[in-house]
Amino acid sequence: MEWQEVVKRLLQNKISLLGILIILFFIIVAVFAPWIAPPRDPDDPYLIPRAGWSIEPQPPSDEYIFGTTEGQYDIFYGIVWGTRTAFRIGLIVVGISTSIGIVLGTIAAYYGGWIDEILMRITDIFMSIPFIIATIVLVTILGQGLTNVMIALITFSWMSTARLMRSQVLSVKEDEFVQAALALGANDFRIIFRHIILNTIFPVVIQASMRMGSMVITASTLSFLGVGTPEGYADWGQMISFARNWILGVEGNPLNYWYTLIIPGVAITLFCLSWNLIGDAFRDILDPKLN
Amino acid sequence: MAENLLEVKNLKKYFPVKAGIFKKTVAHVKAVDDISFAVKEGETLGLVGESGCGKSTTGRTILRLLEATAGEVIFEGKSVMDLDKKAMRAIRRDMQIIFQDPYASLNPRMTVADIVGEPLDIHKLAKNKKERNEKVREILENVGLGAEYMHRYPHEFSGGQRQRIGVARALAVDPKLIIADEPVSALDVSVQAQVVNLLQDLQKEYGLTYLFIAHDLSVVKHISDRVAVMYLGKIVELTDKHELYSNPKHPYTQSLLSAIPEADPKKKKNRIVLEGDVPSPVDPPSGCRFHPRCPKAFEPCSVKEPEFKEYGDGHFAACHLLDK
Amino acid sequence: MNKQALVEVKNLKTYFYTEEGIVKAVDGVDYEIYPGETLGIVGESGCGKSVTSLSIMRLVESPPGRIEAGEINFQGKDLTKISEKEMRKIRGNDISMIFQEPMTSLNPVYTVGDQIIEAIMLHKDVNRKEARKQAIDMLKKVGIPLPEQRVDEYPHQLSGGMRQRVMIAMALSCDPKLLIADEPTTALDVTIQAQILELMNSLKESYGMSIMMITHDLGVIAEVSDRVAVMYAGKVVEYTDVDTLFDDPKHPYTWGLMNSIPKLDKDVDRLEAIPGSVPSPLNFPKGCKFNTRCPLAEGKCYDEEPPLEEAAAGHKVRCWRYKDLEEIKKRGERIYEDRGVQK
Repeated sequence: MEWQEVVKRLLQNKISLLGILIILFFIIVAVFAPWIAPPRDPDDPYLIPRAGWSIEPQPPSDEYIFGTTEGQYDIFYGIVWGTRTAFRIGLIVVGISTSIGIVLGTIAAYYGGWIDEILMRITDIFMSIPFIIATIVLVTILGQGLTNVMIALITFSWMSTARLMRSQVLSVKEDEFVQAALALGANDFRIIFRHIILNTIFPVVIQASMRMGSMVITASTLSFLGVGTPEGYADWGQMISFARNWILGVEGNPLNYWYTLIIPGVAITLFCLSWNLIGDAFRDILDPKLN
Repeated sequence: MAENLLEVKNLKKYFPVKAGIFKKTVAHVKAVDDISFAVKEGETLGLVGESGCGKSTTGRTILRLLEATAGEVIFEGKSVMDLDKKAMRAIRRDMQIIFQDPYASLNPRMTVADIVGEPLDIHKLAKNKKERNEKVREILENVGLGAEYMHRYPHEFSGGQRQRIGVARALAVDPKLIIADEPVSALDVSVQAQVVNLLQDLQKEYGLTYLFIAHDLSVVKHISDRVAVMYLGKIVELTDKHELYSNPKHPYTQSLLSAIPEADPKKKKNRIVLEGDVPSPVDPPSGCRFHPRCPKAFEPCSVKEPEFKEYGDGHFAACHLLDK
Repeated sequence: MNKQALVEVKNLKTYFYTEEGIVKAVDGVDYEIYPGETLGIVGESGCGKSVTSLSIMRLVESPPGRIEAGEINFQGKDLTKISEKEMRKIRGNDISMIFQEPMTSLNPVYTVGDQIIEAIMLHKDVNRKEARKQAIDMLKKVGIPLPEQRVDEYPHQLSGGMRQRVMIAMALSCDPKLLIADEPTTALDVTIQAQILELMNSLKESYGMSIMMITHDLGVIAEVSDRVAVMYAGKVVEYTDVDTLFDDPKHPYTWGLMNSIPKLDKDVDRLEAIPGSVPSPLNFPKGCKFNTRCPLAEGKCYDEEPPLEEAAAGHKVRCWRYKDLEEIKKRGERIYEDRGVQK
């Protein structure tokens, strides 16, 4: 199936269309962030402005339509600029780790033998370390900050792609059209890029789109655990971590501070959901059994 | 007498059988076990045998799609086995292959123009894209496909048309030898004849030499000049096709010929029905490999391997009966 | 023929309702199978030959498939009308079936004995011990060496030819009146194919059953059939006894099929290749369905579908121009142009 056909089917499928619309919405928010929520300090737009110095969150008002969270950080501003953070984390982490996985998996499967053996044992070792713990430790070593969070996430998330890619390449490698290219005198570079990768990439794309959401969640988790972005940085995970002390509300009204948790929670959920919807739809479209 | 374009000498291809956690090699599948033959320029040599006899492995080992375990392949007087990767890629221009499965052998994500144009790109046979597409169009027309198909993908074609695309790809580099590995057996009966006729036409037009591998004796007889019969990794008989069909010397060839159901209900044949199945190539029978199924086996057959030698006028066979 | 037919298929239509449209896999097929005879059904992939047999067994997957119209009369019953419960009694008991790929039709986790025993106990009132005895007996009859031992083996331990024998043993374990064989030898090597065909012929005689042999191979047809139906694009295009068919094919398609396969005892320079390929069942041409490939097609052939007409006694053909083909054959000419260039 060609790309055009896939895109056509993605748009015809109601579920994936919903996913695409949600993502389009987030993209618009991210692109127009400086207009939607003008930064107080244009040199450091990711710093969430504070409405005051009181600790207690304030409910939505005319000035702060989503209210403010702990330390008077503006929730609306945090959500809008946090969209950019989410995309940065998702695209960079998934992009780089998927590329690493593709390269390693392809090399392992295509050349086989001891190269395969070494690469796959390394993959096994990385896989045997619990993901969250490994990233926490690495961020702690490297020090706080978005870049270090991303480095940690990349370091421990390329393995599943490598494995997937390896099994894909192993099966396509034996296909007769690859043999045919070999018989024509094609070199390894041409065989890998023109024949193998083109025929193995779709499952990896599906996996990558599913991982977009989960990477953003993990980054949020790290922020929630206090090893993520520095305080005041526009990041959905951090917004939730601000809410930590206010989840229980006040006596007699457990929902008193609902906005501190619900608003960033909805943002993260929608973001992950949309990528998963697209991934699911992708899988259905590309599953040969359903065609 | 035409020159030998391709010579195969004592070719062997063993596949290791691995077992256990340390992947130790415990045995070998002797897919091709010491075979020799030559293909003359301009002729078609048929290579026929049942599944698992090693005929396809032979074809792929000659092209070095599989590395031989031992033996020599000499193409135009040059040993192919000694060539390094780069020299090998260059010589592939002269030796091409057509595959059995017209579905698996075409990259599903490439257009016909790209599939047929790829060999031109690899060997830099076209100066620019325009010239390349011009050439692709010409080749497609030669194999009976209109140029209007150029920008379509393989899945839009029928089996016969796909096989034509496969033929076109092989032809694009203007090869001298084409190894046709069961090129018609995946096709519908009515389409088989189209491809067989096409291969014959192209042979005449381009002076091609074919090594035609198939399990169907009638097709092999139709298209070949000489025929080699394989059984369990060995060539048991090799001769001119008319001689083979009128005077088969090896008992396996005889039973193979008699086993073919012929499209003539009135002809009730005196059939030699072989007992049992083809033995495993991992542990082939001692002596002559055919002896456990052979209706004419006698004492030396289970002990000594018969020699593959000439019995008059280019008729080669390997059978103890012939020396009795 | 005055004999009472065992199976009578009348105007059978089996359609598949797919996303892309209605696939008329079988589109008005008539034939009879008489007791003790072998009816050969020959045609290329997609001609509907397998779907007719699945329709008789009522094994057409539904949805998307459906028997749209027609009758299948078997022993006074119309198999298209009876309940599923009644059909289950007939299946495997009166009519059994063997398939092309014996590996996929045998359950890999049970021994071959278990599977035959199950088939026997399902239809016969015997205990397990007796069923096992019968199973071993059947294996012996289909020529499996050491049946007492083989009965406890698993399908993967047997070769392709042996597995097909097991399938035959299982199919015959309840003395069916009709055995449907769907390309039973296509996956096998020629020497093994010869064994299986030999076996089927001898079993047919000793059991007195009828066989419906479905294949694309005219050689196999010539070898085993008494009468033959040639199918093309969901229809029977020629229907007669086997000798007449090979002596005097009247449909241009049958003629083309016969001359497109090389023969061992005859040398020809070129084969007569039928041009083009089988039309898609989603998009059959108007008029005669063979008109896209037929060199004789003209006017009427493009407008109106020819009926299956009795051209000679017991020889039916679906062609407007079979008489013209006769003339061409008399002149000894070829009807297909030399090079199978696509239209």
